This record gives sequence, C-alpha cells and structure tokens, in this order.
Amino acid sequence: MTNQSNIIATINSSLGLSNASITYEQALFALFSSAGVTNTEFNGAYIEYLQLALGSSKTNITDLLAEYSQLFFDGNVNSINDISKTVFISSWKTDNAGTSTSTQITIPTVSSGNYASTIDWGDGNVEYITAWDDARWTHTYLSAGTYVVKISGAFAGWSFNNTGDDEKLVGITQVGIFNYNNEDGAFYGCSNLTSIDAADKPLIKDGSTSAIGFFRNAGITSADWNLYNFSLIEDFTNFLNGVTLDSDNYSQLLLLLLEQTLQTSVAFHGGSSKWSFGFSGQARFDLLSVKNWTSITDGGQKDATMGAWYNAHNVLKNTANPADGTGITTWSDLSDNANNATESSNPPLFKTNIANGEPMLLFNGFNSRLDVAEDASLNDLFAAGGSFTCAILPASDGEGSLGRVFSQSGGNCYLDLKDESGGACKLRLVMTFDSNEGAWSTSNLDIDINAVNIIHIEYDNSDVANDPIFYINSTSPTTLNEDSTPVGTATSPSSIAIGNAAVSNKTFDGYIGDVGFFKSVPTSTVRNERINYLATKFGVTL
Amino acid sequence: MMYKTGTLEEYLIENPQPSDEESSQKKKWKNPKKDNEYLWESETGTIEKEDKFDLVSVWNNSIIKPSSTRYFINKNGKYTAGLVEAGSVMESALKNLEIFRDKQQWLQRVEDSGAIIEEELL
Repeated sequence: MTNQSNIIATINSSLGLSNASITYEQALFALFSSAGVTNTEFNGAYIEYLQLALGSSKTNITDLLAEYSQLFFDGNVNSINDISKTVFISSWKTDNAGTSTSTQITIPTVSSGNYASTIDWGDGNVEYITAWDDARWTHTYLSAGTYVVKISGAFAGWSFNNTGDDEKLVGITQVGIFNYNNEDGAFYGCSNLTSIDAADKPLIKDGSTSAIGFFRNAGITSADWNLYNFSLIEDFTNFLNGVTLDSDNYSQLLLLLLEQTLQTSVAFHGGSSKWSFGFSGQARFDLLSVKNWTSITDGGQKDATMGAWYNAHNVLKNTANPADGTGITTWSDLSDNANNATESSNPPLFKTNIANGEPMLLFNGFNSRLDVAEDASLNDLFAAGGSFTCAILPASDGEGSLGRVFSQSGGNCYLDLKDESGGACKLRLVMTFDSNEGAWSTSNLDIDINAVNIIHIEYDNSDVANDPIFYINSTSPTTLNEDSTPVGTATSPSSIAIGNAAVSNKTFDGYIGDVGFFKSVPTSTVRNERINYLATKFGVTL
Repeated sequence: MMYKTGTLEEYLIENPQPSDEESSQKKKWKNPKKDNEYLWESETGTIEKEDKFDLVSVWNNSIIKPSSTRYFINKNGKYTAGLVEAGSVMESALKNLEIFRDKQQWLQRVEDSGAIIEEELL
C-alpha cells in the first residue's frame, strides 16, 4: 500500500519515534502498545480496539487494519488522537474505605456488562480482561497511594450502588469509552468524587433511559451539564439525592433540562441543591407545568430572605397557565413560604404575550387587587433592610392618579405612581413612622407609561436617617426627592395588597409581571442579577 | 397523618411563638378555599383522605420543608412513592399527590398499589 509510509511517519510523529524502517504493522502495534495493548494480547485487544475506534463490525484483523488505514487515505490524520480520547481515565486512592484492602482497588463491573478492556493500572501493569467477574478487576499495588487507571477497549457496565470501593474513586479526568448502561446507582456513595474534570463526554451517554441514583451521595458540587443529553431519561429517582450542587451549577442544570426535549411523568431528585430567583428558578417550575414532569425534589430556594415571588410566567405553580383573559383568583407564591396572593371578587386578568412574548397580569385601574395574608416571611419588610423587585407596564398613574404597585398594612408602607405627564410619571415609596411619615419619590418622570419598567428598591427603615434607593430600568440608582422626612419609629406593616390599597381606592392601571419581596438588601451582584433577569425577560434595554 | 384546622388566632394559641425548629415541624398551612382557615399538625385531630387532597392543593401540590414526609402519587397507573426528607422541598404537578406522616399508613398504601419502592424506605 503506497500510503503506508505516510501512515508510519504519522504514527512515528505522534509517538515521538524516529525509526523509519519499521513495518506498517509494527507502527500500528507501537501505536496501540502506547495505549497499553501487549504483544501476547495483540489479536484480541487489537481487534476490539480497532472495532471500537472504527465503529466496525469486522472481526478479521487484516480487514480492520485496512479500514483503519482508510482513515489516513481520507486525510483524517487526527484518528490517532481520536483513539487516545477513547481511554477512560480515573483516579483512585487505595487506602480510602472500601471492600478491598488498603493497597487494592476494585472496578465496579456488573454481571450485565460487556467488557473487552485493557486496563493500565498506573503502576506499570497492564491487563486485558473480558469477564465481568474476573478476579483481576481487583488490582493490588505494591504500596498504598493514589493511582491513575486507564481503561481502553470495550467497557460497558458500572455500578457502585453504595458499596464496594465507592469511596476510593477520587477523580475522573476523561470519560472516553466509559459506557454507562442504565445501572442503578452508578456513582452512588462516591463521596470522595468531589469533582469531574473530564470535559470530553458526559458520564451518562446519549440515549440512556435511566439515571436512578446516578450521583447519589457523591461528593460533587458541580458538573458540566452542558455535555449531557437527558432527552430519553425516564427515571431520575434519587439522581442527586444527598448532593448539594453549587447554586449556579444547579441553575445550569435546570436551564439545560428546560431546553431539551424530555420524557414526561418524570420524578426528579435534585438533592439539596437550591434554586434562585430568575430564569433558572422559573425553569424549575416550567419543568412541571410545561414539560409535564411529575415532581421535583430539591433543597428549595437559595435566598432564605425571599418572602414571596409572584411570576406571571407561572401564575399557578406546577400548573399550565390559564387561557388569555382568565381572572386570577390565586397568584402562586413561588417561594417556599406559600404566601399566595388571592382575590375572589375583583381579580386581575391573565393576559398573554404582553411584553417580549411574556404574559402579565392586568389590573383594571378601578378595583383589581390581590391580597397576601400576613406572614413572618413578609412582615416588616424593610425593618432590618429589605428589597422589592418588580416589572410593571402602567397605562396611567392609576386610580386617583395614585395607583399602587403594592401596599402593606393599608397605608403603613406602599409604593405608588403619581404626577403623570407627557407619557411618564413618578414613583414614590411611603413608609409610616409613629411621628411623621417618610416619603421619597423620583426627582424626574422616570416611569414610562405604556412601557415595561423594571423597578428595584432597597430600604432599611431602622434609622430615620436612611433613605431608600431606587433602580429603574438601570443598575444605577435613580435620583430621589425626600417629600416627607421620617420622624420616630417605623410602624410594622404586615399583610400586603398587590395592585391596590387596603381599601380598593388606589388601583394600579396596567400590567404587573414579576413581583419579588425580600427581607434583605442584596449584594450588587445579586441586585444586578434580579434586574437583568427581568430586563431580559421583558425585553427592556438597560 | 394528623392535622387540626382553625383560625390563625387558634393556631397561635396552640403554637405560641414557635422556635425556628418547632416552626418547621408545626408549620401552619393556609387554606385559600376558606378565608382565614389554617391547618397545622396536631396530636389529637385527624383528617380524612379527601382532606389530604385539600391539604396539598393549599400548596399547589407541594411538600415544603417538612420534618419528614412520605408521599404517594398515582398517575395513570404509574406509581411514585418516596420520602421527602426534612428540609427538602418537593413540588408536584399532580393533583392526586397523597402525603403521609404515618409510615405504616404509607406502607399500606404502597402495598395496596403494588408499587415498588426502595428497600431502604421500608
């Protein structure tokens, strides 16, 4: 074959060799030897190796070599690197607790597995094993330590299921030919597997149908979920039970799941991972209401100070949104506090496709409202520093030209619109103190009529010297006027009306999308996350 | 599973200023179907099966940070049964979520259905 010399040169180059007189077969053998195939195992491992690399069903070594050489004829010289990428590379600490001795490790093969594997144990020993119960799956080292194990060939089937040497596995740097075969508890109990550094493939291969207990009680706090395709997974029982993913990583997982075509009637376990206010939190509820999953179990909301979150995207949580124009008698609180907002007589209307394709709730400007009962998670919202974030699309400054976005305990604390002029109006926060109320309004007409406005307010009423800070369609504060200077001690507001006053004479006129109440002042990072979430969602340019 | 119903004032009489720990174990449940009605765990009261459905609907089919609660779901003959551990949250999209604080009642429900559950939960 005229191109064999080119193949030899390529392999020599890849392996750092300079012997130009070796035969074509010798060069290929050198290549495969570098991956741990020994001379005595030449035929068996070689055939398996080539079949795997080529995806070929041919069993004759000559045919396979010819097929392999075709890769070079086609100019695909990277095939050498492709083969190196098929190796499954993991790290083990022999003297961690396990069923083998302190100088041993046992690979968790399963009876239903399929193996034709070359194992480089990391101590100079290389073995070729085909039977799932071969005693050589337990390897003995000369001394205790941490070893890198490389498995190549065919390797299908793996499950610790909370036993064996689950605590000895400490790292995975390349997934390669690791072939999860829907076993229960694949990495269950791998408490010392604190990270997965492999970036080549997911541990759950495409087409898998089960993830039962896959990472249960593993030590991981994150994974690169963007590698994963969960579209055929039917069972996520205990998937992450006992695991707490970093909040950002759990957000990545929730958002990825929502993007994929998923199986329905799925019960998902996210361990103790916590979700956040924003798109990822919204995705958590969409998985139930849009993707028709059965249940999601996790650690609840990340921000323990979030007293309530009302989101028109998930009006009645865990339930598909109603038809356009439906009166919303219950607006679910998506937080863990179940501070549902209710109104039986004059509810706002659910309206689809109001801003950037998103729905919002329409308050009619004369009697719409939603009420939230007092609850410790909301009472005295601004007493020790609190914040409020919302998206509104006003049609005017409201009933009596003083329409309220929200009102707490009647008039003890409220946020309203006023002074409409030329298609804009002011925003005002009023807080009652026992001697004289405090009131602050925007210096300018910063609220646009008939446009979405993203509002974020921070305030601590524990000191009369404190002023609130308004952010309107911006991550920079808005200039305020102090209309009335607070004197005395702040009152203690409790129950809340959304879109009105306690008595229905200050009805908001227009749409309200998201509303979030927080009994804390966020960091600038979190503040910007909230503002950016709503701006992106409703198509507002900051 | 045992619960009592009543007004917020009645709840507070039986649960005066609970600590955070007690609050998580004796959480009051608001009932939007009945103004000013609350439900809370009780050693003396019981509710029937239908009330259980009302109870979970209060939370839009959610079990939120219980002390420890077992659940059972039947959707078109496909059963899901398990445990929501203390401090966890389970959101469910199904109206027929049944929750149990009594393990034996839960086991009986599972046994009657023929559902397969993890051995460690038995």
